Amino acid sequence: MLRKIIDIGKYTVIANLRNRLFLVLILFGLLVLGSSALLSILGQEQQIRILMDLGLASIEVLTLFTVTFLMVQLILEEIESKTIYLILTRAVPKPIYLIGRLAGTLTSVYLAAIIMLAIHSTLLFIKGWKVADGMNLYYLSFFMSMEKIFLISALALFFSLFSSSGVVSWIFTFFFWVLGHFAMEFKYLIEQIKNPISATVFKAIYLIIPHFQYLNARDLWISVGDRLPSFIVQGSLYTLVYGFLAFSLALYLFKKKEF
Amino acid sequence: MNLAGKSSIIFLISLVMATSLWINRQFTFPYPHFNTLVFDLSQEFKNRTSYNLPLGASAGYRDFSGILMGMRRLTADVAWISVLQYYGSHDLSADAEFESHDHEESAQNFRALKKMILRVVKLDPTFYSAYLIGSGALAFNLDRPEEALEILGYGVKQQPLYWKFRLYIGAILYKQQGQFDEMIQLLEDAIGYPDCPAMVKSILANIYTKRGLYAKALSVWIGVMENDRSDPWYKYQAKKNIPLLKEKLKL
Repeated sequence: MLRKIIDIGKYTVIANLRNRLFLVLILFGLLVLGSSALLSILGQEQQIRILMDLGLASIEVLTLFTVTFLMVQLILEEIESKTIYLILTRAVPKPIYLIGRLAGTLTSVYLAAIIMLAIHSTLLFIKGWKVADGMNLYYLSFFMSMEKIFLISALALFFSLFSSSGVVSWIFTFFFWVLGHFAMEFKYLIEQIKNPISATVFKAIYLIIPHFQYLNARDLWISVGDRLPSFIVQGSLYTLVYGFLAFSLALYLFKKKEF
Repeated sequence: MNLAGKSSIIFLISLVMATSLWINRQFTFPYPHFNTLVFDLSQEFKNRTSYNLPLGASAGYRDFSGILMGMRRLTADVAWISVLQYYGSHDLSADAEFESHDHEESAQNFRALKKMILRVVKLDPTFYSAYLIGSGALAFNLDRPEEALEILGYGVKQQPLYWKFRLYIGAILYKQQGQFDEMIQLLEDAIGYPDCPAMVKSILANIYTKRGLYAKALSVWIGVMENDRSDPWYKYQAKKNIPLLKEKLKL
Protein backbone atom coordinates (compact mmCIF):
# COMPACT_ATOMS: atom_id res chain seq x y z
CA MET A 1 0.00 0.00 0.00
CA LEU A 2 2.76 2.44 1.01
CA ARG A 3 4.68 1.46 -2.12
CA LYS A 4 1.69 2.48 -4.25
CA ILE A 5 1.33 5.81 -2.44
CA ILE A 6 5.04 6.54 -2.98
CA ASP A 7 4.83 5.61 -6.65
CA ILE A 8 1.81 7.85 -7.27
CA GLY A 9 3.49 10.61 -5.25
CA LYS A 10 6.69 10.33 -7.32
CA TYR A 11 4.71 10.44 -10.54
CA THR A 12 2.89 13.58 -9.28
CA VAL A 13 6.14 15.32 -8.27
CA ILE A 14 7.69 14.63 -11.69
CA ALA A 15 4.53 15.81 -13.47
CA ASN A 16 4.50 19.01 -11.39
CA LEU A 17 8.16 19.73 -12.05
CA ARG A 18 7.42 19.44 -15.76
CA ASN A 19 4.52 21.84 -15.41
CA ARG A 20 5.53 25.16 -16.93
CA LEU A 21 3.20 27.23 -14.81
CA PHE A 22 4.61 25.67 -11.66
CA LEU A 23 8.11 26.62 -12.74
CA VAL A 24 7.02 30.13 -13.71
CA LEU A 25 5.46 30.60 -10.26
CA ILE A 26 8.67 29.47 -8.57
CA LEU A 27 10.69 31.82 -10.74
CA PHE A 28 8.28 34.61 -9.93
CA GLY A 29 8.70 33.79 -6.22
CA LEU A 30 12.45 34.14 -6.50
CA LEU A 31 12.05 37.49 -8.25
CA VAL A 32 9.65 38.71 -5.56
CA LEU A 33 12.09 37.67 -2.84
CA GLY A 34 14.90 39.45 -4.61
CA SER A 35 12.89 42.62 -5.01
CA SER A 36 11.80 42.47 -1.35
CA ALA A 37 15.44 43.12 -0.46
CA LEU A 38 15.23 46.37 -2.42
CA LEU A 39 11.84 47.34 -1.01
CA SER A 40 12.98 46.76 2.56
CA ILE A 41 15.53 49.57 2.15
CA LEU A 42 12.59 51.98 2.35
CA GLY A 43 12.01 50.79 5.92
CA GLN A 44 15.30 52.38 7.04
CA GLU A 45 15.94 51.13 10.59
CA GLN A 46 13.19 48.54 10.15
CA GLN A 47 14.83 46.86 7.16
CA ILE A 48 15.09 43.43 8.78
CA ARG A 49 11.48 43.48 9.96
CA ILE A 50 10.16 44.54 6.55
CA LEU A 51 12.34 42.08 4.68
CA MET A 52 11.23 39.31 7.02
CA ASP A 53 7.51 40.11 6.80
CA LEU A 54 7.57 40.64 3.07
CA GLY A 55 9.54 37.47 2.46
CA LEU A 56 7.37 35.27 4.68
CA ALA A 57 4.18 36.69 3.17
CA SER A 58 5.52 36.24 -0.37
CA ILE A 59 6.51 32.64 0.30
CA GLU A 60 3.08 31.91 1.75
CA VAL A 61 1.10 33.61 -1.01
CA LEU A 62 3.14 32.09 -3.81
CA THR A 63 2.89 28.66 -2.22
CA LEU A 64 -0.86 29.22 -1.85
CA PHE A 65 -1.24 30.13 -5.52
CA THR A 66 0.90 27.21 -6.62
CA VAL A 67 -0.83 24.65 -4.44
CA THR A 68 -4.37 25.79 -5.25
CA PHE A 69 -3.57 25.89 -8.94
CA LEU A 70 -2.12 22.39 -8.84
CA MET A 71 -4.82 21.00 -6.57
CA VAL A 72 -7.81 22.19 -8.54
CA GLN A 73 -6.26 20.78 -11.72
CA LEU A 74 -5.07 17.57 -10.11
CA ILE A 75 -8.06 15.33 -10.64
CA LEU A 76 -10.09 17.42 -13.09
CA GLU A 77 -7.36 17.32 -15.71
CA GLU A 78 -6.91 13.57 -15.36
CA ILE A 79 -10.64 13.00 -15.69
CA GLU A 80 -10.77 15.18 -18.80
CA SER A 81 -7.76 13.52 -20.42
CA LYS A 82 -9.03 10.11 -19.24
CA THR A 83 -5.58 9.15 -17.92
CA ILE A 84 -7.19 8.41 -14.57
CA TYR A 85 -8.63 5.18 -16.06
CA LEU A 86 -5.13 3.83 -16.61
CA ILE A 87 -4.34 4.13 -12.92
CA LEU A 88 -7.64 3.14 -11.37
CA THR A 89 -7.98 0.07 -13.55
CA ARG A 90 -4.63 -1.22 -12.27
CA ALA A 91 -5.98 -2.23 -8.90
CA VAL A 92 -5.13 1.09 -7.26
CA PRO A 93 -7.80 1.81 -4.65
CA LYS A 94 -9.31 5.29 -4.88
CA PRO A 95 -8.16 6.37 -1.37
CA ILE A 96 -4.57 5.33 -2.18
CA TYR A 97 -4.69 7.23 -5.44
CA LEU A 98 -6.00 10.37 -3.73
CA ILE A 99 -3.48 10.20 -0.85
CA GLY A 100 -0.64 9.65 -3.32
CA ARG A 101 -1.68 12.60 -5.47
CA LEU A 102 -2.10 14.89 -2.45
CA ALA A 103 1.24 13.81 -0.98
CA GLY A 104 3.00 14.26 -4.30
CA THR A 105 1.59 17.73 -4.86
CA LEU A 106 2.43 18.81 -1.33
CA THR A 107 5.96 17.44 -1.68
CA SER A 108 6.62 19.45 -4.83
CA VAL A 109 5.11 22.61 -3.33
CA TYR A 110 7.05 22.19 -0.08
CA LEU A 111 10.26 21.66 -2.03
CA ALA A 112 9.67 24.96 -3.82
CA ALA A 113 8.84 26.68 -0.52
CA ILE A 114 12.03 25.36 1.12
CA ILE A 115 14.10 26.70 -1.81
CA MET A 116 12.42 30.11 -1.36
CA LEU A 117 13.03 29.96 2.40
CA ALA A 118 16.72 29.20 1.87
CA ILE A 119 17.08 32.17 -0.47
CA HIS A 120 15.15 34.43 1.86
CA SER A 121 17.19 33.38 4.91
CA THR A 122 20.37 34.08 2.94
CA LEU A 123 19.09 37.56 2.10
CA LEU A 124 18.32 38.16 5.76
CA PHE A 125 21.78 37.01 6.85
CA ILE A 126 23.36 39.31 4.26
CA LYS A 127 21.36 42.19 5.77
CA GLY A 128 22.76 41.41 9.22
CA TRP A 129 19.98 39.28 10.68
CA LYS A 130 20.68 38.14 14.25
CA VAL A 131 19.13 35.57 16.61
CA ALA A 132 17.66 38.45 18.63
CA ASP A 133 15.64 39.49 15.58
CA GLY A 134 13.23 36.59 16.09
CA MET A 135 15.02 33.77 14.29
CA ASN A 136 13.01 31.08 16.09
CA LEU A 137 9.73 32.86 15.28
CA TYR A 138 10.79 33.15 11.66
CA TYR A 139 11.24 29.41 11.22
CA LEU A 140 8.13 28.70 13.28
CA SER A 141 6.16 31.06 11.02
CA PHE A 142 7.36 29.16 7.97
CA PHE A 143 6.42 25.84 9.55
CA MET A 144 2.94 27.09 10.48
CA SER A 145 2.49 28.59 7.00
CA MET A 146 3.15 25.16 5.58
CA GLU A 147 0.47 23.75 7.88
CA LYS A 148 -1.91 26.33 6.43
CA ILE A 149 -0.90 25.14 2.96
CA PHE A 150 -1.65 21.55 3.96
CA LEU A 151 -5.08 22.56 5.19
CA ILE A 152 -5.95 24.66 2.14
CA SER A 153 -4.71 21.85 -0.14
CA ALA A 154 -7.15 19.41 1.41
CA LEU A 155 -9.92 21.99 0.98
CA ALA A 156 -8.88 22.70 -2.61
CA LEU A 157 -8.99 18.99 -3.35
CA PHE A 158 -12.49 18.78 -1.91
CA PHE A 159 -13.68 21.81 -3.91
CA SER A 160 -12.13 20.47 -7.11
CA LEU A 161 -14.21 17.33 -6.75
CA PHE A 162 -17.24 19.22 -5.53
CA SER A 163 -17.41 21.49 -8.58
CA SER A 164 -16.72 20.50 -12.13
CA SER A 165 -14.88 23.70 -13.01
CA GLY A 166 -11.32 24.57 -12.03
CA VAL A 167 -12.14 28.27 -11.82
CA VAL A 168 -15.10 27.72 -9.49
CA SER A 169 -13.09 25.48 -7.18
CA TRP A 170 -10.26 28.02 -7.16
CA ILE A 171 -12.74 30.77 -6.20
CA PHE A 172 -14.18 28.60 -3.40
CA THR A 173 -10.70 27.80 -2.11
CA PHE A 174 -9.61 31.42 -2.14
CA PHE A 175 -12.86 32.47 -0.44
CA PHE A 176 -12.18 29.99 2.37
CA TRP A 177 -8.61 31.25 2.66
CA VAL A 178 -9.87 34.79 3.20
CA LEU A 179 -12.70 33.66 5.47
CA GLY A 180 -10.26 31.65 7.56
CA HIS A 181 -8.09 34.69 8.13
CA PHE A 182 -11.10 36.85 8.86
CA ALA A 183 -12.51 34.35 11.39
CA MET A 184 -11.52 36.39 14.46
CA GLU A 185 -13.21 39.49 13.06
CA PHE A 186 -16.19 37.32 12.16
CA LYS A 187 -16.38 36.27 15.81
CA TYR A 188 -16.34 39.92 16.81
CA LEU A 189 -19.22 40.62 14.41
CA ILE A 190 -21.19 37.68 15.86
CA GLU A 191 -20.75 39.18 19.34
CA GLN A 192 -22.57 42.27 18.10
CA ILE A 193 -25.65 40.28 17.00
CA LYS A 194 -28.60 40.85 19.34
CA ASN A 195 -30.91 38.09 18.05
CA PRO A 196 -30.03 34.86 19.95
CA ILE A 197 -31.13 32.53 17.12
CA SER A 198 -29.03 34.31 14.51
CA ALA A 199 -26.13 34.46 16.94
CA THR A 200 -26.29 30.67 17.54
CA VAL A 201 -26.44 29.93 13.81
CA PHE A 202 -23.47 32.17 13.11
CA LYS A 203 -21.55 30.72 16.05
CA ALA A 204 -21.98 27.25 14.54
CA ILE A 205 -20.74 28.60 11.19
CA TYR A 206 -17.85 30.23 13.03
CA LEU A 207 -16.82 26.88 14.51
CA ILE A 208 -16.97 25.06 11.20
CA ILE A 209 -15.03 27.50 9.03
CA PRO A 210 -11.26 26.95 8.85
CA HIS A 211 -9.38 29.14 11.33
CA PHE A 212 -6.14 30.15 9.73
CA GLN A 213 -5.43 32.57 12.56
CA TYR A 214 -4.70 29.54 14.78
CA LEU A 215 -1.74 28.97 12.49
CA ASN A 216 -0.84 32.53 11.63
CA ALA A 217 2.46 32.81 13.55
CA ARG A 218 3.74 35.00 10.71
CA ASP A 219 1.23 37.66 11.70
CA LEU A 220 0.78 37.07 15.44
CA TRP A 221 4.56 37.08 15.86
CA ILE A 222 5.79 38.08 19.34
CA SER A 223 2.31 37.82 20.83
CA VAL A 224 2.65 34.00 20.65
CA GLY A 225 6.15 34.10 22.09
CA ASP A 226 5.01 33.34 25.64
CA ARG A 227 2.79 30.39 24.62
CA LEU A 228 4.75 28.78 21.83
CA PRO A 229 4.33 25.09 22.80
CA SER A 230 0.56 25.31 23.17
CA PHE A 231 0.30 27.42 19.98
CA ILE A 232 2.20 24.80 17.97
CA VAL A 233 0.35 21.82 19.48
CA GLN A 234 -3.11 23.38 19.10
CA GLY A 235 -2.41 24.62 15.57
CA SER A 236 -1.02 21.29 14.43
CA LEU A 237 -3.88 19.35 16.01
CA TYR A 238 -6.39 21.65 14.32
CA THR A 239 -4.65 21.20 10.95
CA LEU A 240 -4.73 17.44 11.31
CA VAL A 241 -8.39 17.25 12.33
CA TYR A 242 -9.62 19.78 9.76
CA GLY A 243 -7.38 18.39 7.03
CA PHE A 244 -8.68 14.90 7.72
CA LEU A 245 -12.28 16.13 7.49
CA ALA A 246 -11.64 17.92 4.17
CA PHE A 247 -9.80 14.88 2.80
CA SER A 248 -12.60 12.53 3.92
CA LEU A 249 -15.18 14.70 2.18
CA ALA A 250 -13.01 14.76 -0.95
CA LEU A 251 -12.64 11.00 -0.79
CA TYR A 252 -16.38 10.57 -0.42
CA LEU A 253 -16.99 12.67 -3.55
CA PHE A 254 -14.24 10.87 -5.41
CA LYS A 255 -15.71 7.46 -4.54
CA LYS A 256 -19.07 8.62 -5.81
CA LYS A 257 -17.62 9.60 -9.19
CA GLU A 258 -18.10 7.03 -11.91
CA PHE A 259 -15.27 6.43 -14.32
CA MET B 1 -23.85 7.49 1.30
CA ASN B 2 -24.33 4.57 3.66
CA LEU B 3 -25.11 5.04 7.34
CA ALA B 4 -21.53 4.37 8.45
CA GLY B 5 -20.21 6.93 5.99
CA LYS B 6 -22.74 9.54 7.09
CA SER B 7 -21.96 8.87 10.76
CA SER B 8 -18.22 9.20 10.09
CA ILE B 9 -18.67 12.57 8.38
CA ILE B 10 -20.95 13.82 11.17
CA PHE B 11 -18.43 12.61 13.73
CA LEU B 12 -15.59 14.39 11.91
CA ILE B 13 -17.58 17.63 11.65
CA SER B 14 -18.36 17.43 15.38
CA LEU B 15 -14.70 16.76 16.10
CA VAL B 16 -13.67 19.81 14.07
CA MET B 17 -16.22 21.96 15.93
CA ALA B 18 -15.13 20.63 19.33
CA THR B 19 -11.44 21.20 18.51
CA SER B 20 -12.20 24.68 17.25
CA LEU B 21 -14.21 25.46 20.38
CA TRP B 22 -11.45 24.15 22.65
CA ILE B 23 -8.72 26.17 20.90
CA ASN B 24 -10.94 29.22 20.66
CA ARG B 25 -11.42 29.30 24.44
CA GLN B 26 -7.68 29.53 24.97
CA PHE B 27 -6.83 31.65 21.97
CA THR B 28 -6.29 35.36 22.53
CA PHE B 29 -6.41 37.45 19.41
CA PRO B 30 -3.89 40.18 20.18
CA TYR B 31 -5.02 42.78 17.67
CA PRO B 32 -7.65 45.51 17.80
CA HIS B 33 -10.65 44.74 15.59
CA PHE B 34 -10.95 45.95 12.02
CA ASN B 35 -13.49 48.69 12.84
CA THR B 36 -10.88 50.56 14.91
CA LEU B 37 -8.52 51.00 11.95
CA VAL B 38 -7.82 54.51 10.71
CA PHE B 39 -10.22 54.70 7.77
CA ASP B 40 -10.36 58.44 7.17
CA LEU B 41 -6.69 59.19 6.50
CA SER B 42 -7.30 60.13 2.88
CA GLN B 43 -9.12 63.25 4.17
CA GLU B 44 -5.77 64.58 5.35
CA PHE B 45 -4.43 64.54 1.82
CA LYS B 46 -7.47 65.64 -0.13
CA ASN B 47 -5.72 68.82 -1.32
CA ARG B 48 -2.76 66.96 -2.70
CA THR B 49 -2.31 65.89 -6.28
CA SER B 50 -2.17 62.16 -6.98
CA TYR B 51 1.58 62.14 -7.69
CA ASN B 52 2.24 63.82 -4.36
CA LEU B 53 0.36 61.38 -2.14
CA PRO B 54 2.33 59.27 0.32
CA LEU B 55 2.29 55.54 -0.33
CA GLY B 56 -0.99 54.02 0.86
CA ALA B 57 -2.59 57.37 1.68
CA SER B 58 -6.01 55.78 1.24
CA ALA B 59 -5.25 53.87 4.47
CA GLY B 60 -8.13 51.95 6.07
CA TYR B 61 -9.76 50.54 2.97
CA ARG B 62 -6.45 49.27 1.66
CA ASP B 63 -5.42 48.10 5.13
CA PHE B 64 -8.62 46.09 5.37
CA SER B 65 -7.56 43.95 2.40
CA GLY B 66 -4.32 43.20 4.26
CA ILE B 67 -6.35 41.97 7.23
CA LEU B 68 -8.44 39.77 4.95
CA MET B 69 -5.29 38.06 3.74
CA GLY B 70 -3.98 37.64 7.30
CA MET B 71 -1.16 40.10 6.73
CA ARG B 72 -1.49 42.71 9.45
CA ARG B 73 2.24 42.96 10.07
CA LEU B 74 3.07 43.45 6.43
CA THR B 75 0.25 46.01 6.08
CA ALA B 76 1.66 47.84 9.11
CA ASP B 77 5.08 47.80 7.43
CA VAL B 78 3.64 49.42 4.30
CA ALA B 79 1.86 51.98 6.49
CA TRP B 80 5.18 52.63 8.26
CA ILE B 81 6.95 53.21 4.94
CA SER B 82 4.24 55.77 4.18
CA VAL B 83 5.00 57.52 7.51
CA LEU B 84 8.68 57.65 6.60
CA GLN B 85 7.82 58.89 3.16
CA TYR B 86 5.60 61.60 4.64
CA TYR B 87 7.78 62.75 7.48
CA GLY B 88 11.10 61.43 6.25
CA SER B 89 13.60 60.23 8.77
CA HIS B 90 14.64 63.83 9.16
CA ASP B 91 15.22 65.28 12.52
CA LEU B 92 14.25 68.85 11.66
CA SER B 93 16.27 70.45 14.40
CA ALA B 94 19.33 68.51 13.32
CA ASP B 95 19.65 70.03 9.92
CA ALA B 96 19.25 73.73 9.31
CA GLU B 97 19.52 73.18 5.59
CA PHE B 98 16.48 70.96 5.67
CA GLU B 99 14.56 73.46 7.75
CA SER B 100 15.17 76.19 5.22
CA HIS B 101 13.88 74.02 2.37
CA ASP B 102 10.63 75.03 0.84
CA HIS B 103 9.11 71.78 1.99
CA GLU B 104 5.41 71.45 1.38
CA GLU B 105 4.63 69.95 4.76
CA SER B 106 6.96 72.02 6.94
CA ALA B 107 4.44 74.88 6.95
CA GLN B 108 1.66 72.54 7.98
CA ASN B 109 3.91 70.97 10.57
CA PHE B 110 3.15 67.42 9.43
CA ARG B 111 -0.46 67.72 10.49
CA ALA B 112 -1.34 64.09 9.65
CA LEU B 113 1.62 62.55 11.46
CA LYS B 114 -0.23 61.44 14.61
CA LYS B 115 -3.00 59.85 12.60
CA MET B 116 -0.51 58.10 10.34
CA ILE B 117 1.36 56.66 13.32
CA LEU B 118 -1.89 55.56 14.95
CA ARG B 119 -2.75 53.85 11.69
CA VAL B 120 0.46 51.81 11.94
CA VAL B 121 0.10 50.85 15.60
CA LYS B 122 -3.57 49.99 15.23
CA LEU B 123 -2.59 47.54 12.53
CA ASP B 124 0.23 46.12 14.62
CA PRO B 125 0.24 47.17 18.29
CA THR B 126 3.60 45.43 18.75
CA PHE B 127 5.36 47.74 16.29
CA TYR B 128 7.36 49.39 19.08
CA SER B 129 9.62 51.47 16.86
CA ALA B 130 6.59 53.19 15.36
CA TYR B 131 5.49 54.38 18.82
CA LEU B 132 8.99 55.46 19.84
CA ILE B 133 10.02 57.22 16.65
CA GLY B 134 6.56 58.73 16.17
CA SER B 135 6.22 60.07 19.69
CA GLY B 136 9.84 61.29 19.65
CA ALA B 137 9.24 63.21 16.44
CA LEU B 138 5.99 64.72 17.71
CA ALA B 139 7.25 65.67 21.16
CA PHE B 140 10.80 66.81 20.50
CA ASN B 141 10.91 67.84 16.84
CA LEU B 142 7.42 69.18 16.22
CA ASP B 143 6.71 70.32 19.77
CA ARG B 144 3.36 68.54 20.01
CA PRO B 145 3.79 66.57 23.23
CA GLU B 146 0.03 66.03 23.71
CA GLU B 147 -0.15 64.07 20.48
CA ALA B 148 2.97 62.12 21.41
CA LEU B 149 1.43 61.23 24.78
CA GLU B 150 -1.73 60.09 23.02
CA ILE B 151 0.28 57.65 20.92
CA LEU B 152 2.24 56.38 23.91
CA GLY B 153 -0.97 56.12 25.94
CA TYR B 154 -2.39 53.87 23.24
CA GLY B 155 0.81 51.84 23.43
CA VAL B 156 0.56 51.42 27.21
CA LYS B 157 -3.05 50.28 26.81
CA GLN B 158 -2.21 47.76 24.10
CA GLN B 159 1.15 46.56 25.40
CA PRO B 160 1.23 47.23 29.15
CA LEU B 161 4.35 45.10 29.66
CA TYR B 162 6.51 47.13 27.29
CA TRP B 163 7.96 49.46 29.91
CA LYS B 164 9.95 51.69 27.54
CA PHE B 165 6.74 53.55 26.73
CA ARG B 166 6.74 54.81 30.31
CA LEU B 167 10.32 55.98 29.94
CA TYR B 168 9.34 58.08 26.95
CA ILE B 169 6.18 59.34 28.66
CA GLY B 170 8.34 60.46 31.58
CA ALA B 171 10.75 62.31 29.29
CA ILE B 172 7.90 64.06 27.48
CA LEU B 173 6.19 65.06 30.73
CA TYR B 174 9.45 66.51 32.04
CA LYS B 175 9.80 68.46 28.80
CA GLN B 176 6.26 69.82 29.18
CA GLN B 177 7.02 70.93 32.72
CA GLY B 178 10.34 72.48 31.72
CA GLN B 179 12.32 69.99 33.84
CA PHE B 180 15.01 69.50 31.22
CA ASP B 181 17.63 67.87 33.46
CA GLU B 182 15.21 65.10 34.38
CA MET B 183 14.17 64.79 30.74
CA ILE B 184 17.81 64.38 29.68
CA GLN B 185 18.29 61.74 32.36
CA LEU B 186 15.44 59.67 30.92
CA LEU B 187 16.62 60.13 27.34
CA GLU B 188 20.08 58.96 28.45
CA ASP B 189 18.44 55.82 29.83
CA ALA B 190 16.52 55.37 26.58
CA ILE B 191 19.55 55.55 24.29
CA GLY B 192 21.26 52.84 26.31
CA TYR B 193 19.01 50.20 24.76
CA PRO B 194 19.99 48.59 21.47
CA ASP B 195 16.54 49.10 19.93
CA CYS B 196 16.57 52.85 20.61
CA PRO B 197 15.86 54.65 17.31
CA ALA B 198 18.68 56.82 15.93
CA MET B 199 16.23 59.73 15.89
CA VAL B 200 16.00 59.74 19.71
CA LYS B 201 19.79 59.61 19.90
CA SER B 202 20.06 62.59 17.57
CA ILE B 203 17.52 64.51 19.69
CA LEU B 204 19.66 63.96 22.78
CA ALA B 205 22.86 64.84 20.91
CA ASN B 206 21.32 68.12 19.76
CA ILE B 207 20.16 68.96 23.30
CA TYR B 208 23.70 68.31 24.55
CA THR B 209 25.12 70.54 21.82
CA LYS B 210 22.68 73.36 22.67
CA ARG B 211 23.69 73.08 26.32
CA GLY B 212 27.39 73.13 25.45
CA LEU B 213 27.95 69.50 26.51
CA TYR B 214 30.05 68.79 23.45
CA ALA B 215 31.84 65.69 24.76
CA LYS B 216 28.54 63.99 25.53
CA ALA B 217 27.10 65.01 22.16
CA LEU B 218 30.20 63.65 20.44
CA SER B 219 29.88 60.30 22.20
CA VAL B 220 26.21 60.00 21.13
CA TRP B 221 27.01 60.79 17.48
CA ILE B 222 29.88 58.28 17.51
CA GLY B 223 27.39 55.69 18.80
CA VAL B 224 25.04 56.51 15.91
CA MET B 225 27.92 56.25 13.44
CA GLU B 226 29.13 52.89 14.76
CA ASN B 227 25.69 51.26 14.83
CA ASP B 228 25.15 49.17 11.66
CA ARG B 229 21.39 49.56 11.93
CA SER B 230 21.38 53.37 12.12
CA ASP B 231 19.43 55.10 9.42
CA PRO B 232 21.76 56.50 6.69
CA TRP B 233 20.30 59.97 7.28
CA TYR B 234 21.48 59.98 10.91
CA LYS B 235 24.80 58.50 9.90
CA TYR B 236 25.14 61.45 7.56
CA GLN B 237 24.24 63.79 10.44
CA ALA B 238 26.80 62.06 12.65
CA LYS B 239 29.45 62.35 9.95
CA LYS B 240 28.72 66.07 9.71
CA ASN B 241 28.58 66.75 13.46
CA ILE B 242 31.53 64.68 14.67
CA PRO B 243 34.27 66.92 13.12
CA LEU B 244 32.46 70.07 14.28
CA LEU B 245 32.26 68.79 17.84
CA LYS B 246 35.87 67.58 17.74
CA GLU B 247 36.87 71.04 16.61
CA LYS B 248 34.99 72.60 19.51
CA LEU B 249 36.61 70.16 21.91
CA LYS B 250 40.00 70.81 20.25
CA LEU B 251 40.54 67.06 19.68
